Amino acid sequence: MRYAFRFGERLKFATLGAALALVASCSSVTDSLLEVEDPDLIAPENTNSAAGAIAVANGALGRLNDVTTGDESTWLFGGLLADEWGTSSTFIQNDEADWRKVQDNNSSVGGMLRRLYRVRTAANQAIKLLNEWQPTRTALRAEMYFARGFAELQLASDYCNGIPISDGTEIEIVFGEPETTQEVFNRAIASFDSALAIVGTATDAASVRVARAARVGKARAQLGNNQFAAAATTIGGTTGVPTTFAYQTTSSLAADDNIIWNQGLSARRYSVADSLEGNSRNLLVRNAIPFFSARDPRLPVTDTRTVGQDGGTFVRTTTLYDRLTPIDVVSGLDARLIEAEAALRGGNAAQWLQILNDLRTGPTRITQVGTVVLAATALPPLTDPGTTEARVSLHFREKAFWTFSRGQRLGDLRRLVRQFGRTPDNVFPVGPHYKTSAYGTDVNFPIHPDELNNTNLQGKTQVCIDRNA
Amino acid sequence: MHTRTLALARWAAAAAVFLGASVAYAQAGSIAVRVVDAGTSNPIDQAQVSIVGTNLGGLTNSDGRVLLRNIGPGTHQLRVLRVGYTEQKKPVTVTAGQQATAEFSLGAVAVSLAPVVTTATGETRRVEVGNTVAQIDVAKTVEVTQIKNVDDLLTARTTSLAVTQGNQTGSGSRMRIRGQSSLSLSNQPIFIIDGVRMTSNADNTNLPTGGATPSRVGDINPDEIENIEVIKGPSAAALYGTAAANGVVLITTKRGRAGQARWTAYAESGLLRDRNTYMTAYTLFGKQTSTGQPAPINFCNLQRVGVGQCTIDSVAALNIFEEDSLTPVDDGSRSQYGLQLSGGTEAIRYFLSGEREQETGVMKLPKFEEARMQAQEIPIREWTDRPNALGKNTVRMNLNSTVNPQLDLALSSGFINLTQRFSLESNATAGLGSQVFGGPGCSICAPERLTGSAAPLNTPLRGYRAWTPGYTWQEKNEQQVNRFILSGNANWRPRSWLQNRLTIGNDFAARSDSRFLFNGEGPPITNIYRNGFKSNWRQNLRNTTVDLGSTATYNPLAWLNLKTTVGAQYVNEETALGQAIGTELPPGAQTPNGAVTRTASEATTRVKTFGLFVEEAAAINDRLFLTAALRTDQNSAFGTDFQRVYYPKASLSWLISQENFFPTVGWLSELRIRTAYGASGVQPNSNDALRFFGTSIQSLQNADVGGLQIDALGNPDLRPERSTEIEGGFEAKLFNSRLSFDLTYYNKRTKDALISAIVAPSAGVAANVRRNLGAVRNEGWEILSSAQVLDRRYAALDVSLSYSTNENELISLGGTPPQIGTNTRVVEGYPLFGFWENKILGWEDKNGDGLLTYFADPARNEVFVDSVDSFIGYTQPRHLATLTTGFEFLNRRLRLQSLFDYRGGHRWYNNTERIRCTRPNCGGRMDPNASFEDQAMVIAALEHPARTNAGYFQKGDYVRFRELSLQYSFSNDLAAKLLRARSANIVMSGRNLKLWTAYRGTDPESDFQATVDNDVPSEFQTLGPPTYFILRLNVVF
Repeated sequence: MRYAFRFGERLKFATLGAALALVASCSSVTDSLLEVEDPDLIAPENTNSAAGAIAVANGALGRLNDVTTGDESTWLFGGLLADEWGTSSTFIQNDEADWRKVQDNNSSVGGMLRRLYRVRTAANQAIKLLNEWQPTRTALRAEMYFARGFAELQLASDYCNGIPISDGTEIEIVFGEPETTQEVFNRAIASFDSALAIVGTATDAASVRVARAARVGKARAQLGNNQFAAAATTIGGTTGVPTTFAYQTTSSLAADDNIIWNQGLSARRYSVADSLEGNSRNLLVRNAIPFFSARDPRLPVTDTRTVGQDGGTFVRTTTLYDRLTPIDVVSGLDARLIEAEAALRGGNAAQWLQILNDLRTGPTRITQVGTVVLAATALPPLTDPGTTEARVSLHFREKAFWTFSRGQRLGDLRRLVRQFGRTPDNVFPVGPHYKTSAYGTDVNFPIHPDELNNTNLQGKTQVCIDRNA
Repeated sequence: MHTRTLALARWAAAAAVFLGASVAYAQAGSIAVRVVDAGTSNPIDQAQVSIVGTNLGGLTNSDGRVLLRNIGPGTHQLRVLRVGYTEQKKPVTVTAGQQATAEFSLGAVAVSLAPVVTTATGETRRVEVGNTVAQIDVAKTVEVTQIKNVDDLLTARTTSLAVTQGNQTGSGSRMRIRGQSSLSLSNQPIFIIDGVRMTSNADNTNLPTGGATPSRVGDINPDEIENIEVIKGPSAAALYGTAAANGVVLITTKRGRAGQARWTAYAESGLLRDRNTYMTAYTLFGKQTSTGQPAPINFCNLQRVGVGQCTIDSVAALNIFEEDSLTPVDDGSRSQYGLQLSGGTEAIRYFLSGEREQETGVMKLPKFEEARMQAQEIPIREWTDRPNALGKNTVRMNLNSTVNPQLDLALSSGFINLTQRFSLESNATAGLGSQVFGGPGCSICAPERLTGSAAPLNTPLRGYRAWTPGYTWQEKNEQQVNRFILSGNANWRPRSWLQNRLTIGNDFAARSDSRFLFNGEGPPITNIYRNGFKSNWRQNLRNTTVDLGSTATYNPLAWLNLKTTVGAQYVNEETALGQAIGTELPPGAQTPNGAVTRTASEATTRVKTFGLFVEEAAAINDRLFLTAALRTDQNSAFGTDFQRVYYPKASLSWLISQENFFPTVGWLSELRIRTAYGASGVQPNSNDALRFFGTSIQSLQNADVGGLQIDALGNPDLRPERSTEIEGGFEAKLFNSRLSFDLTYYNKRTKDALISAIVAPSAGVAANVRRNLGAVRNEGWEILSSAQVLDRRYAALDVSLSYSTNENELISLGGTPPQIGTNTRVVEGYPLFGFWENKILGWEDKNGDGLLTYFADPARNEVFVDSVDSFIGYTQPRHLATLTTGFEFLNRRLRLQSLFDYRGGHRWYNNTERIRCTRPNCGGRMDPNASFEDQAMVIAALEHPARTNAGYFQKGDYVRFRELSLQYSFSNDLAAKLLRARSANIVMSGRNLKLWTAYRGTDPESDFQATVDNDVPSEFQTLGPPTYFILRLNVVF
């Protein structure tokens, strides 16, 4: 016997299929079945409020923290590439930076680059929201421009010539072309100017704080662009930026440890560099400031004679910064150093020397860097070495001790090449390296090839215009 | 949520009521069927008896009988299928109200595959399916060889399935079927157990082990499994929908059989031994040429000797693993005890099982550390002595009920309770790997090397890098799981031509991951590490499946049978994580409660899929089988601008040798040709389509404040990856079915491949955004051949050989630039994740000093490296082969079975050697007797400006003696006499017995990333796979 499919049964079966199709097409049913709520996510519309604007601004300042002391940043890696830090890490990325042989796709350098750009985007998003929802919070609005400017300043200081500046504020990203170092410094100057314009002449503490920070930031960018006198003018003397002023990044147990302590003294992945390297301290590193051997009271260093994280390198640690020590992003000390450099560049050696010596013997604030409190006699006055070359060397050495691991040394070494006529071989560490045969030739960080996804760069194989200082 | 559940229930109920309206019982008869072995006349149980052209049928009991009730009057074709026997059909006439009888005598065949396979629309005869389906007879496999988990069951059992296991006890594995299709999502197949989607993703933990991690697949007890089927690709998996493109593994657990209670007891015990050969550490002692003074340790190396910076005094060598007091490995142990009960009546059958499994891995506190800790009166806790261990209890109860001839009900329930702990290893800073592989070539060096400078840490390193295992293993990394997998299945046949099925099930796992270190213990990684910590992650994982289908069968013409299936499926996957972390604990504290820093957070993922499908199958003359189907899915992870996806399927299977026109060939028993086409997908991750902010906490002017930061760009157009596959081939049975040969070609193309498209950093947003941009091709051949070479009463020999190939190519990146990683690249025209580097072109010892040295001067340089990066090799094997032989003698009571496993055509990253050379302690860096190949590898990586790792991407080809087992089956008399048992056997087995390879590292299956589902193999400071030696006793009462 065959099982015929009777008409009525066929009809019922066909009806079932139709019913299922109907159910499927009924959006209310399927929407209900597929509805998902994820409590982890915060929709963009949640930022459209006064509180939301503040939260995004806080997030932007968190991003700024990431590129200074909240995360491994060019403040540390720049120190490796320059002469502040030596590698005692197992990470090849760190080694490459210290060797001055950074590959384009160095993931750490690429990560730091992203974090710098994220400061810009976060600040821009916050600016838009604050303008709409918190227009009277002028100091905070200005601080967003400061954060953006500082990221641009650090980009220009540490990365190669040819830095794309894009706008990722909205869903549609507007990609930019690579810009020269000078153009990026100009962007920083413009951002700092915006900050200054917003706070104007306001005298409330928050506005004054941001204005002073913006002045120092702008002046540093001006130095980068060879505008020495203008930089000094921007500072405006101790009235514009008192020597005791500091705009600081802070740490907490709930947020982040101070990364310089975390990676240096705590994890021992970075060792304070010296002009004599190697576990037997018999490898001469030419041009390097002897940050350990100098025994400078501004930078207390201990040669632990025990191995670092790599298990092979004896590390030298500093107690300059503790776990939660606030660190200056910009400060009155920076302002004075800028003025000193401007004076030196302007041929006024006496003023230059006076400023430096005032810092060495000045009021309490200046004699405290990190955890270090200097006695009044700790730093004897400097004497004029007599020649411009020697003065330049002395100035940058002095600055190196004052600003250790605060993201300025690499930019300063590049300026010594760019603005003071020195060759990289006479500025950057040279000679045998304790982990490889010899130092390489890098003078800045490359832009990671991820940037080739920038729509303006399709078909190209590298982003940097050049890798010169 | 409640509303949605109700909506689903209402919908299901409506469908059931609709179908129920058609129920009516005509006056019917029944058929009593008996099936026996033609050779011995012994009854055959578990034979599948069915009425052709209907959904009616049943399984024979242990007496070989089954009664088919409610059969309409008339003449019916009865078909009997049983693995190991020829298929048989015969007509039976049923009279209303009467019982007809039918007796089948089945002839045994030497080589046979299971005649029935599981498909998305239910069980189907293998010959009707146009695609290849691999089957593993788990119940038999577990009995004859050493199987500790599902990964073992799947390793080297079928073509095109590459399984790479983690090497710690309890760790999971990477599984790839027919290559890799996805650039940025998992390429792991999905698992379905008793009809229910199973949580199966790899790396199922929050423990930061730096290497081996567990998979939830590993939870499943192989002794509870009846069989496993592997659906290899979209041509077969279309109806499994938006998740199945990487293949589907179907697990069916054991069922009770009608008959008297059958007790099965088993016990196994044995050991694990690390028989790997690890690399020796070297240290070159010499004088610094410039000073004439002894150079500090690690300063001198072959390059520095070559350029004249050093002269060699001596070379020290140490292999920690070969030093009895220093080695961190020792024999581990394994034991397993289980008891199973099955039986029942025609109306209700049961299967009950309980098992306890324990395994202790090979890691063991070295003797010198034991002595040190005892001397320092430091407690040696269990996890410090044995940091890697597993304890697992499993319980299962499966019930099957034939409520009436129209209705079958089944309940499957399994409970798993396990505790396992892992050692921090390969890529964990605190782990064992960097310590045991990173130290110098001397156990006692001058000056003495110590863990730390001050007590109590100033303890000798004895050849370890920065601290010794006692410090590492004071930290405990433990996972506990309580898991319940429940499914209920109803098969309702209101008409002989209509079958409705409903499966509802849930896989729920409560997982607790715990990481703990007492205050004052552990390695001195940072200033606060030894202050202790406790991290506790508690996660619930839930997979809910509702699967509803209805199949109508009808014969519009005598030679034509049609089968129409419609169905709906709903899958809801959800994870919810809560974590509490405390660092810097008070002395003695074991909770985060008193920690200096405490953080708490939670995370949730939810993905829901709703699919509908329809399938039409036609059988023409019961020889030509055509199938066409379509499934459509909606998924919560799709972008808001994308609604639904369609997956079509079509297949043809033709028993051409049964056609009249086919010439009679004496040696050809059966020939079937088949081809199939189908599509299926891979869903995006739950939040890939969304643009959202995340929270942050930051200290601003010394006050902690919350903030928001953009986390993801989102993509409203996001849709699933869609893979289409065509496969074709034939199956032949030769020489009276003593030899089978199966050949398959497949070509799988994936379009809309989800790419984690890199967002240019300058955008200042997320690093990646998921986009459907890629296209990938996988193509290959599969050959499977089995032969019963000898088949006598006193002896037998069977051989099985499988071989498969895979060619993988990225066709398109959708206009985005190549994805350039540190060692791998994703480039159009090349395989996914291929190794790319500047090739080492050669070397020449120009100055004849016996060393290779890099000189900037080309005239003196001795190692030559290509100036541009180029493709070096596949990261996944392109060729897989297995050879299984079974030799039975002593009247076939003794069976010797072996399995050899080959993989080749790929490279393996000897990342251990790379990092050893940077420590530096590798031979190529420090041993003047090292081969030029090893020296060139190091020079190219560390001295040449190209800095290429090419030398570390080494040929990964190998042949492994994977399994050997010797099984002795007691005669029934002996079993009864000795054990009062019905039957018994004893099995001695070994796993991972021998390796032949060109790879220069420890083992070409040693991959620290395999268990985290990474597609790039990398041996990185990783222990090799252990060898197992196990003795097992199986007794049936």
